[in-house]
Formats: sequence, structure tokens, C-alpha cells
Amino acid sequence: MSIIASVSGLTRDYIQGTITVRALRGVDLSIQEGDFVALMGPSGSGKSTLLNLLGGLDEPSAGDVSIEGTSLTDMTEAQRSNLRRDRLGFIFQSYNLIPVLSAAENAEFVLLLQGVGPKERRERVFKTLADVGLAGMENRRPNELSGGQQQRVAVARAIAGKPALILADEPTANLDSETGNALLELMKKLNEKNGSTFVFATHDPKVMAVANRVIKLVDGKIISDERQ
Amino acid sequence: MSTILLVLAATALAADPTVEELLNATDDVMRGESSVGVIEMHVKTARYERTMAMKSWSQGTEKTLIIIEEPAKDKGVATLKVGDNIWNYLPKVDRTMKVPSGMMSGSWMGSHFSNDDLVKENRLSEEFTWTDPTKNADNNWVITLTPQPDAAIVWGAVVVTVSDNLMPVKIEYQEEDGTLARTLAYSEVKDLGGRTVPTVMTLTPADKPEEFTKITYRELDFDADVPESMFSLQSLKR
Amino acid sequence: MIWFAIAWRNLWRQRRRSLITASAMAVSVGLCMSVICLNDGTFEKMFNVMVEQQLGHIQVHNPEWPGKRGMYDTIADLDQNVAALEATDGVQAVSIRLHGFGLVGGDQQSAGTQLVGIDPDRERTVSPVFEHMQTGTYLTNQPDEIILGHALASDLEVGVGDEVVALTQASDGSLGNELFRVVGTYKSGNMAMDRTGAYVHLGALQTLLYLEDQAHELTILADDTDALQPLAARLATANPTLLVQTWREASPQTAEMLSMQDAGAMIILGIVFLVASFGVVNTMLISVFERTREFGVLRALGVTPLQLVSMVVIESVILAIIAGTGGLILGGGLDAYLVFQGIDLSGSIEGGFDFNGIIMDPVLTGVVRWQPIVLTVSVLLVVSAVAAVWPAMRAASIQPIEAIRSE
Repeated sequence: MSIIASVSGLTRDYIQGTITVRALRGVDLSIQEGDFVALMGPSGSGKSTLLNLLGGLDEPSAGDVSIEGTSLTDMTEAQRSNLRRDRLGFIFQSYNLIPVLSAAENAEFVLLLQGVGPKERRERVFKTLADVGLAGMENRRPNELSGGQQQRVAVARAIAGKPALILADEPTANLDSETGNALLELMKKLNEKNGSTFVFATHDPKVMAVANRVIKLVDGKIISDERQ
Repeated sequence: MSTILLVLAATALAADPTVEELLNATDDVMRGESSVGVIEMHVKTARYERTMAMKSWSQGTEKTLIIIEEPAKDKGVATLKVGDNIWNYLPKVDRTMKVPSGMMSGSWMGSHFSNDDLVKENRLSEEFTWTDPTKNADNNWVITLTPQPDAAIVWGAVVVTVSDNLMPVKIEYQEEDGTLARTLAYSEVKDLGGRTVPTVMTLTPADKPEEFTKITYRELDFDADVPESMFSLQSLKR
Repeated sequence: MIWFAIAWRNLWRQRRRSLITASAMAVSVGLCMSVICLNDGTFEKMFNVMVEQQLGHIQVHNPEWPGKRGMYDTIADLDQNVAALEATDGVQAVSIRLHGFGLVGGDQQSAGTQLVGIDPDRERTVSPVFEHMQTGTYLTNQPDEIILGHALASDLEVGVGDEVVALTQASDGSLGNELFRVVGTYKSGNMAMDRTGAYVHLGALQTLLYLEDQAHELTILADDTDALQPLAARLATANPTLLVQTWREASPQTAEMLSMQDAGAMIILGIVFLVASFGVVNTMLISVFERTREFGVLRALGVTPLQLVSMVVIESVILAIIAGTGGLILGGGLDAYLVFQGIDLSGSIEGGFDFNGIIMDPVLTGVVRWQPIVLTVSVLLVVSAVAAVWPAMRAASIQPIEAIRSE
């Protein structure tokens, strides 16, 4: 099993006025291909910060993040953009679809950025939407979809570009439990079927139930890292 | 032209003349109650040179009539001045034309004199302020005249030179900036019509020294009987 | 192109705001077009009066003529010179003018007058003065005909059928004088020519001035107005004793005046679009602020800052294209009104007004040229693109994490 992402000595300080808040205090971690990781911990434990650092959306105060062996620290903004485009997928708590684009277009968007040809794009978009259970809803705009459906589109968008790592920040928090469960099952299925690697930052115990690895963070430190 | 056409004999005098006497000598040199004269005008410009013979009648400072007798081409062309107005009579077309005010600075009969020169009859002593007369190297009196603020005078200054025996010698007209614009010189002092007067006046523009207009008085009869009817538009057409 | 699709759809998310902004821009374009149309109408009038009537395309003089305009600075051997000019390729027509200054009038009213001796048939081919006859006719074939500027005629209290005397100083110093018969009065729009000008037959003025077979000015109508310089150069080489000048060279002050008139339109264009650009910046800034989060998501998905800038700029340009289309329709309507109806000022101004020595009709009419319209729309597009850059840069500088966090 190859290492998708690795983190060493990762520290992140936020300066709020005169106070420095240390969100991460020297985290070491590596994510294996095929992992389905739940980052657990109370609010302010640093799980979202860790997720953002993994996604290259934030810069560490100290330490290093590598994706597939390449350090993000030395990258330019454009290189990080390209890395996110080609190797990472994001799923957000509040879906964050592009409101003016249809479900299919949202899923297609990353493929367009990647420069995938129209025919392949179309095939992959339809297949991906079918995989997330949205066959027949391709042309609906986000405001014509339920929350669960929107998050499924977000999942489709995240996996359509065939990323090495999908980062999900509280993906079920805005969904009722039934819908949240269905979405989790979907992602688990994608994990098992396609070998997609997921990292979740979550409070949701249901995520812990389906994860194969649970990492607990308290006050910016990993206090446990267990495979199950 | 006022000074051209009328003559008043200069009174002989003993002591230094006053400014008024000097200026009047110039003003009155050719002036009389009325006069009749025969004049020759020679105009030389860069382009042409011509001589005209004319006859003139005048009454005081207000009225003047000049009729060209030669050359044949211009024979009968007449200029009538009454007050500030000038009319030209053109025999070829048998019409008179009034010179409009805007044209008064234009040339009179192709000479270096302007229509204005014909009209300006005001006395020097009334329109100007002056310096004390000084004697120059030729023993002539020199007076510099500056226009009074409200006077309608185009010159910046006028320098009058008068001989010791009160004969006008020359008048130099200066531009506003003090440069010489033209010189009117008097010469050929002779007895004419019972007075001793300079019979030739030469006007030379300063910027074209090779050009001049020379007026020579051939005959002059002062205080001749000139009928009032001479100075009418009708009389122009005779 | 996905960016166009996104930009287009984004615009219609705030339909009302986009439409208001587009309307404001469209009104700007429409107003600009109509102001330029009116300005061009004035320009054409000025050009017609100053250049077509007076200067012609190319002027030929005695080298001594410019500045002095002396009576003796003539062109001799007229037939030969005119024939040589006419034979030159690119010369459409040549008119002959002799200028003289004199008194025109009668015993009660007379006025200093610029007499122009012309060959009426030749003059007709070059200068449109004959189109502006107010009363009577243009010069025909009688040597004693004179046509007067309408203001001069009324100053002299003469009309068609009256006789006037012309008195000038001839070249030999004699008093040239002749009787002329008024056959017409013209209203050319050139204040100087209308107040102090008169046209007579070339031969009559030559006799009056004693300048037989001479003229002061040959005016050339060229085939191609855009190639005056080379034509003038060829004519100058072929006629070394003559001074050949394009109208711009012959009258730099006219060229200056006309370019000032053109500059006026540019200033208006500038002001209108300065205002329009504030509108664009404002609209795009609001729209960018509203979408902070969305831009953050796009950045997270791998959109580069440059792509984001392009997207915002494209939105602005699409808005400008919509506005430009509306503006063209509005401006086209206004222009049509100005061209066919004009603005009638005769209620407040009697009989026209003086503009730089040109008497303008009290009814201002416009002229439509395609160049300023293309320029206006191009400026709109460029200004919209440029004005959107700053809001776009703000969009691009958004930190994805901050944006996504902001709920």
C-alpha cells in the first residue's frame, strides 16, 4: 500500500489580536492508499485545520505536508491550484456547488479544468452521477435538488477528476441522519469499489462506524490513531 | 492733410518762442480762412511711381475739395471732405462713394497719406501734452508731443521740429513702442500767395525708406473767395 | 467555453442589477453617439465652410503670398499653369481666384470688401458657394455681375438688380473703379465672406486691379482626399515656381480648429466612459463580494487566480456587449432624429449663431459616421474589461479557506 499523504511535525498558529492560538502542535501522520479515515475531535481540536493543510488550502507554521511524495511547502500558488485540480477532491459541509451550473456541469467542472476531452467528459460525468445515485437528475440546478442530492453532486464533483485523495469536512453535518447514512454508505462503497482514499473531519459517530481508521485529536495533537 | 493745404504766415519774433507759438507754426503753416491751390503729388512705391496734378479748395478746417486733373486715367476723380466724412467722386462710373469709418486708415489716392490724415484737423496743441522745446544741433526747436489719454491718436508720440524763424522742418510720428513710423519733412521755403511757406512736403514711411509721397504746392491763393456750394455732393459731379 | 457559460449565467443571477448597469451603459453609449453625431454635424458644417468653400483640397499660390497676401504676389501665365495642373493625375478640377480689397457701395453706404474674382464655371466645380445663394442667381456670363455676402448686401442696403460701385487701388497706383450689377446674394456660413465678401468675374477684377492674366490662388479639387499630401508633393515638383499646399498646410489654424472640434468629441467620450467605468467597477465589486464564498470553492477546486480574473472580466465584457447593443439601438434612434429632424434653436437664436467665424444654422443637424460608433462601442468594451480588472483581482486574491469558512 502506497502512501498518499504524509504529514510531519505539522504546526499551525493563528494570531488573533495579541494572542497566538496554536491549532496544531506537531502532528505526524501518513495516509495510505485506500484509507477511509475519520478525523475526530471536539471543536477547536484542529481537525479542520489539518484537513485544510492536507488540501493545500492553508499553509503550516512549521512542518511539512506531502501529497504522493511531493511537498506542498515549496509549491507556488498556481502549482497548488493544479495539485488540487488533479490530485485532490473536496467535499464541504454546506455542499458549495456552483449555483449557476447544473448537476452534470458541476461534476464536469473539474474535468473541464483538467482538460479532459468532451466525449470522455460526458461519459465520466454520467457514470459518476449514476454512481452517486443521481441518474436522471443531470440537468437540475442545485436549487432544484434536496440537500442530500446536492451533497451527492458534491461527491460526484470530488471523485469525477479521479483524485488520489478526497477530503471531506463535516459532509453529513447539514443532513438528516437517514440522508447522512445513505451518503456515508455511498462513500464507503466508492472507497471499497474504486479504492478511493477518504479523509473526513467529523463529529459524526456514524462516520467512525464505517471508517477503517479513526484518528482522535485533542488540542492540536493526535491522541489516538486506530485501525479497525 | 490739414497742414498741407492751408498756410498762415509765421509772425516774426524776437525772444524765444513759446511752445504754443512753435506748435501753431506747424498747425497753421498752410491754413487760412479759405484757399485755392494747385498741387502736384508724386508717389513712389516699390511697385509704381506716378505723379498726379490736382486742384484744391478749402474753407477753414472743416471743408476741403480736391480734384485730380492728371493723369488722364484719373482725371476728374474728386475727394470731398466735410467734417469727419470723406466722399470720393468717380467720373468713369459717375458715382460718389462715402469712405466708411473702417476704411479711414486706408491709403488716399494710392499715396502714403491716409484718409485720416485728410480728416484730422485738430490742432496739435489741443490733442497732445508736450515737453519743453529744446534746441538741436541745427539750431532748430524740438518738441516731443504725447497724445492726451482721451485723444483719438494712433501714434505713441509725435516729435515736431521747427526752425528758429518758426518754419516747420519736420514731424516724426512714432509708434506706441517708440519706433519711428514715418517722417513728414518740409522743404523749399518760398513766397507763395503772399506768405513765406515750405512748398514741398515729403512723407516717408520708416519701414520702406525707398518709398515716399511728395506734395509740391505750385500755386496757393489764401483767403480766396470760395463759395459754400463747392462743398456738396452735387458739386462733385460737375 | 465553460467560462463564458458561467459568466453569462452569473450575470443573470442578479437580473435587476445587471439590467440597471447595462441600461446605464447603454444610455452612455446612446448619448455619446448622439453627441458625436451632433459634433460631427458641426464639424461637417465647419469643414464645408472652411475647407470646401474656401480652401479647397490643395491651394496653389505665388510663394510670396502666404501671410502677406500682397496684391502683387500673383501667379502669371494663368492658362499655361492651370492647364499643367489640370493635366496632373489625381486633379479633378482647378478654380482660379483673384483677390482684391476695395470699397463697394454707393454714396451713402459703402464698406470695405474682399473682392474675389472667379471663373464661375470653374469655381462651381470646386467650391459649393453657388449652392448657398440666398437671393438671385450665381454669376452667369455678364462681366458686370457681382454677388454679395448677404450681410454685406444688407449693410449696403442693396439687393438683386441694384448697382454698386467698386473702388480699389489698382496695381499701378491708379484708382480702379467700376460699376457692378448685383445679381445675387449668398449665405455661405462663413462670417467673413458673408459680411465682407463679394464675388465678381475674374476678368472684371483683373481689369479693375490692372492685373491682366494673373490670379492669386488656384484651388484644386482632388480625386482622393486621403492622398492630398502625395498629390501636393507631385504638383510642387512639377511646378517649382509655385507654392503648392494642402489645405492643412495652407491654413494650419483651420486644421487646428477642426482638430479641436474632433478633440471635443473625444473629451465627451472620455467623460461619459469615466462615469460608465465607475458603474462597472461598482457592479462588479458588489457581485464579487457576494460571491466570495463561491470564488473560494472555485479556488479549492483548482481554479487558478488568473482563471478567476478572466471569469470576472468576461462577465463584465458580456455585460458591455449587451449594453453596447442596447446603446447602438438607442443611439441609432437619436442619431436618426438628429440627422433627419435636428435640434431647432431658432426659438432662442435668431438666424443662426457665430461659431469660430462660421455662421451655424439655428437648426443643428447631425452627421453619422461609422468610425466614432465603432470607437464608442470599442471604448465601452475596453473600459468594461479594464474596469473589471480591479474587482477581479480582489476575487482572485480571496483565500479559499477564509471564503469557505465564511458562512
